[in-house]
Amino acid sequence: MTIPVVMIRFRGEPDAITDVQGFLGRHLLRVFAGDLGERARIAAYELVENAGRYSTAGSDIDLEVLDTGNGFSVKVSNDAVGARVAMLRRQIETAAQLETTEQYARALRRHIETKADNMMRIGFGLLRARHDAIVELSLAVDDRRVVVLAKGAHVATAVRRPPSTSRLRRPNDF
Amino acid sequence: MIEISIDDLKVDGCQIEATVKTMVAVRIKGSAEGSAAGDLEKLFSKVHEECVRLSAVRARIDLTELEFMSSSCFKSFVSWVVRIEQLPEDQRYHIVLLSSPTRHWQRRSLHALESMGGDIISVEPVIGA
Repeated sequence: MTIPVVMIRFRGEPDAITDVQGFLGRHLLRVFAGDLGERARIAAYELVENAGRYSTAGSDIDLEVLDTGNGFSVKVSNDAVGARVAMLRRQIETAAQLETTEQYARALRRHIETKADNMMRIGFGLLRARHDAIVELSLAVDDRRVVVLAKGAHVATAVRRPPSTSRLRRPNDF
Repeated sequence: MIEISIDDLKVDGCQIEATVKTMVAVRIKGSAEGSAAGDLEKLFSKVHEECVRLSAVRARIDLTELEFMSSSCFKSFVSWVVRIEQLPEDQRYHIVLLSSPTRHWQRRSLHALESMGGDIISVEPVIGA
């Protein structure tokens, strides 16, 4: 059974984003137990941060967090701006292909060494959500809104794990 | 400052070698969110300068009471590792991250740093933290 946990619309302005992220930190850790709460927090935090960077200043951002029964989903949508959507799509594709900690580590290094600051900030949060929150990432454009979705399964109780996420888990990680 | 003077001490029948190895220790508590990124970058930059100045062999960063770190703050660690790698080999020092096993995110995040940093960085879980 899917249960709504958070449904918020807020302005894509720094103060509002900070407030929402603070609320998410407190609320998601109460709703989801242990590791799941921390993962949901990371995913929601980074997707909101990312949306803030992509939104036209002052436009609305919608955030929805669901308890899916076997984990969580985080959906963030904001207004779609052409060139940024293309860039975001590339970043999502890159993050979605991330399968191992070693790949993640190489990506971190590459980002720092190339000093691609703007690209790095945009992509870094998504990479981290993918690796640290162990989520499947996807993107859709709907009615001129760009929608980023992160789905995280309950690791400890999952009977069958999706191959892509299971390869992210290493004995040392869990 | 601690001054030691043992050069003139002799121990009968023994050969004595004494060294002082400097370690810089930092503890970070709380929640490092996006607004902390700039300050954290400055902090690590300063710690790096001090480690080089003091010829430190180790910087120990206690994260056991750090409940959250955003990606922009996490990036500061990555930059720090790259900065150490750029030092001449004889000036490099080691970063030890003390982590809490009960903070699950630390296992994944810090393990990635460890993978990236090779010999420069290691993670030590603190049981009971």
